[in-house]
Amino acid sequence: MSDALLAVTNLRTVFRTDRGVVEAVRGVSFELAAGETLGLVGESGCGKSVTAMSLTRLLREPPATILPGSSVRFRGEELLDASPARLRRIRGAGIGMIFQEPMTSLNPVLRIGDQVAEAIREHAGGDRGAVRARVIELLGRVGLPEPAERYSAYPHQLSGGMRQRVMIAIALAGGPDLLVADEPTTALDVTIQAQILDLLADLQRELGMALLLISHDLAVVSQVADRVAVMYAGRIVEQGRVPGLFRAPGHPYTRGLLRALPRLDTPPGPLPAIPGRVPDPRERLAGCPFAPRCPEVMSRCETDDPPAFPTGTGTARCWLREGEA
Amino acid sequence: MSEASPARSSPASPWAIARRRFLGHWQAMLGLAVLIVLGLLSLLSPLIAPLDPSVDLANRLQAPSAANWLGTDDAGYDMFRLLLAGSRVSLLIGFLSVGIAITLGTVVGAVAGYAGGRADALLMRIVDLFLSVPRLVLLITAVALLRPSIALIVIVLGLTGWMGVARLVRGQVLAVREREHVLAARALGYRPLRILFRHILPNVLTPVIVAATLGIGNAILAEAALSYLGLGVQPPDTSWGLIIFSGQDRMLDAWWITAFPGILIALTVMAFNLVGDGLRDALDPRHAQ
Repeated sequence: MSDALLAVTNLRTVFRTDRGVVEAVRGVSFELAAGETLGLVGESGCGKSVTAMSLTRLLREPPATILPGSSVRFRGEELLDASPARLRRIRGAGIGMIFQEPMTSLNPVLRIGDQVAEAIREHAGGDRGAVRARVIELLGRVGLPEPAERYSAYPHQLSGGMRQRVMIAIALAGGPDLLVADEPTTALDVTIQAQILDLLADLQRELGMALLLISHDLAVVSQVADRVAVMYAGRIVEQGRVPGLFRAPGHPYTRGLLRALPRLDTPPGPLPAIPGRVPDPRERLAGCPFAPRCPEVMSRCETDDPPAFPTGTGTARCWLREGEA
Repeated sequence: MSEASPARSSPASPWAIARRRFLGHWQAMLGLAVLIVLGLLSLLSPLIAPLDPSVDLANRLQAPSAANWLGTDDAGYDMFRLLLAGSRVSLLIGFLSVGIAITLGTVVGAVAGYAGGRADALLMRIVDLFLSVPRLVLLITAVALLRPSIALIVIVLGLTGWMGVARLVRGQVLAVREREHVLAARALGYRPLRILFRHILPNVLTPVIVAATLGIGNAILAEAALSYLGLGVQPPDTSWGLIIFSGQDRMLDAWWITAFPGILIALTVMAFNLVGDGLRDALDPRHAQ
């Protein structure tokens, strides 16, 4: 038994479609301690969002199915066996979520203050005046200027960054122990990105929340995360602490991602890309899923799937790391 | 077109914007004016122009004149007063039957769209079933089996008019439920009914309002057709369709008995359609032009 706040073990989520079974998440395991920030990175379609949505079973089932043998324990409680009513208590009050698109993640026909108030009433309750005061306090806490005046604004009257702040306020309303932020800054321009990341880091410290930050952007993750998990083709191929993982990546995929980052100290020109493409998630894979694109591929990679080997800062699923560390 | 600035101070709700656009739509304003005049006359008619219930045979079949603006029918009733009395019934049937149709259609469509799966398939087959029976045949059957009354006509028109709304709402709900704000609401642990009625339905209401407005015109026409066939409103109640029915034998020598209710029906239905189109343009700007 571990005392982790969140422990995900062998999570496997598939989608049954007309064109076959899509294995979106193929055995993901990770832990998150209270107050810790874990960055989950990977390219589009690697299963990051499906992993996040599987935690509180937000995916529509069907078409999604979380396969037996998967486990998501939150504060020691198995969520995959929880009743719908119990899951609703966890959502918002235990695990809060914010999403990528601040333009669409607020209800366009309701005033923003009422949307925050609704979340407060759902999980904390209180009389009219107390709820209103709490709404204004939360809106102020997430850095919305003139929160009392903005209470009755509609989403379309706010900029993208302000809307994302409102979303964060709503997610905080239930007092969650874990905040899952799925690409929270992807739709924002760079200066706003930095502000929102700072805000998330501040709130996380101040409220003692754990933060699961999902992003395709290594730069974003490196700014706030304590640890990073790199996903590829529906599984975590490497995890480790920051900055060790960035200094000495243990998996060729992580190395490829880091090499593809633009740097100020090298002359402009085409960035080194990782050749090949992500495997079709409908394929059954033998061996290491990264083998077809790996510059250091060995013959056993094509037949045997590597387990997680310890690296200097964490673990990597790569035969190169066998017997190291 | 100007970008909405983030710090705009005037709290312009989506409704305020739509209202401004609606008020600037002259065809809709014309239709609305007609409906307001008609509605006021209809509501106030017992005070300003009550119908004398006694038959006045000495005064029957009078052409329009200063004493009887729109003439009299073959029982000697003043046509103007008769038409106002009929308008109360025709409009009442229009509003109530559409109220039933909209409520039923919205609930069925919303549940089908949100629940999906087997519930959706079942509800939509019921819609197909209702749609496959011609409305008038169903109406005539129902009225033939039961005693015709205003309540029966309202119910039957309501029960045969909801399928279009159900399909409309289902389609809209299917689109809206995939929006991120609905996912956000689910991630907050809200109950399915709260999500459906607070976070999805208000986002699909605008086309429903338009459909309702257009539906009232249709319901008035259906009632007129039914009453014209003698299967609708029964005396001593009266409606526009019934007045036309009562005057059809005298169309050549007393044209005013059929012409005026006919004109009134056309005018009213057109007014509802103009207002409906105006609402659509105001509420769904993508539709305009």
